[in-house]
Amino acid sequence: MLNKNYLLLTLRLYRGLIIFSALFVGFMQFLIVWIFASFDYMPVIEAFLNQLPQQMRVLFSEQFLTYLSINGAAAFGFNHPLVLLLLGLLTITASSRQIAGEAENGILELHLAYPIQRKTLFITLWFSISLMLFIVILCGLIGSLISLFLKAKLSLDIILPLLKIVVNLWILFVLVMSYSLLISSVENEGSKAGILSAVITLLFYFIFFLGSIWTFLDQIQILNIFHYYQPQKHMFHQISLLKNLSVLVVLIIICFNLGLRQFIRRDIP
Amino acid sequence: MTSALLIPHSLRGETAISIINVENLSKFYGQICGINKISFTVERGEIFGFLGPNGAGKTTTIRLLLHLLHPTSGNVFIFDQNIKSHSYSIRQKCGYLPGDFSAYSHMTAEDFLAYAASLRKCPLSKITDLAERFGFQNSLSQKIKQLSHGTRQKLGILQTFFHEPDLVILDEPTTGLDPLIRDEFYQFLREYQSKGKTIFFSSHNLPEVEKVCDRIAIIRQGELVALEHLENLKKKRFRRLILRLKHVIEPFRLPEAQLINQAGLQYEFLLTGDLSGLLEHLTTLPLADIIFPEPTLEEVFLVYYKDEKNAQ
Repeated sequence: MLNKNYLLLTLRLYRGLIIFSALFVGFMQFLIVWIFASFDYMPVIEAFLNQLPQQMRVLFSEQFLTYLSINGAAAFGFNHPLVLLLLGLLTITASSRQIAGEAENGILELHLAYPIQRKTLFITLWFSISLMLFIVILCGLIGSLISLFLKAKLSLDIILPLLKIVVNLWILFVLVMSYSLLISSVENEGSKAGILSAVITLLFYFIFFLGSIWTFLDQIQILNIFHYYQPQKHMFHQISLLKNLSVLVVLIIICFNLGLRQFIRRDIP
Repeated sequence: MTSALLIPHSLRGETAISIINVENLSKFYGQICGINKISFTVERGEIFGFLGPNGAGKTTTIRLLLHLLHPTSGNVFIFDQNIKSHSYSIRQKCGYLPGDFSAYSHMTAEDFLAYAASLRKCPLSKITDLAERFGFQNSLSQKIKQLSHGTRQKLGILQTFFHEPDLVILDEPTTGLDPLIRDEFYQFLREYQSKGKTIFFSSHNLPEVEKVCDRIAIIRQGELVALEHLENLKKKRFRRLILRLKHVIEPFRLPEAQLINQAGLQYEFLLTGDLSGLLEHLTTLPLADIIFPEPTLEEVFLVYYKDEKNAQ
């Protein structure tokens, strides 16, 4: 089912990006928790809120203040645009380069002339990128845990929600990777496949972001993949991990099967 | 080298064993024809030349042989197995050199070969001899992106042959090779053939194919226009003769030659028969130069089309 040599090759091809992403995400999680744990910022925020007119003050709910806790900060780190951007970059680059990109530059033709089945190649690639994402996200978790251990109390109350967040984040990006591989299986040019996958992901993200400002977008958020990843809500037990995962996993299965089917059927190049 | 072994089985009067059997193979890209109803067989121990101009359908045919493309209709059998259902086991016994060989540019040549060997589950023990033969031993530790086009092509040759496959498919294999290495490669192919291995050699260069191949298929605009033993092809072949005279003379004719073009003092003839009478005539002319240009593929095609018309 999996080809060990191809798996090692893909990990080797992206080792630079994996190491950079893992260090960046790990350090970022560490720093965010460290900063929140180091300064007593609540009086400053309360003073700021008190200076605001009453009409504006109501915009900042109690929930907003709870998000500004250490727990909230740990969750925020996994929702930071830079973290999402880096994970997206790794996912889309690897997915689009390995199929459409290699079809374009001729390496896929050579690869498939070797005794390796298309099915094995696709499944190994899917597994390999999942593993890359797992490594990067795991480093983020380690960064958070070290920071919490050093500056705050490390308890199950925070570890369990953090675990839920990282699993949810991982599965979300496995979905991004699965539809990127599907696009890559259809396309003949790596850059086209990459751009298309990035545009779709950014579109989801911006619609989700705008939904927090314009409530009329709420009704369509159910169709948005980012609706199924809200780390702050995990931290404060306001959302079910199972519900999120079931939706994301169903979408992954659909994209994976369509991608695999297309890859087996496609002409090279 | 045993000369008998260089001759394919059918020519030696032995029972021919088909290694490649292509039956009515077609590939259409929408309305565009890649190849149309091509049929041929390649026998064991044969160097089979697949000749055609660029865009004729050579690479399409090769990709269909390796199941990289899915045929619109027709079948390909390699080692008596249908490529559709036994692609994996067939590819285990094949070596392939693509027309535009490319590999992971940041890898060293050695690492790439090690990766190829791991996929083929085959030791790299013979690579040193091969590398030495093609003058590649100093490039093994270099990154692929640092290699020149010709050296990269040598790497392509190494990855094609290191596991000693029973069938080798070569798509324009000598592109970028210098003449010395090219001759070494032709010699290597003959030696490889003598081990009973089969070689499918695609090229657009007629003299090159003539040097190494036993049998030749000619493809043009997606259709097979000829499938001949080399000897037959040579018989059918015609040559051009270009004469440059020192000064203007009366209009003249040459035996077994047809004037096809004249510009000033330069006359171009199509030679159609025995040369002995012609040579006598040439001595009577005030010649400044005589040129026998290599026939182009188009000229060879013209012969075949002419034959077809005559037959009709």
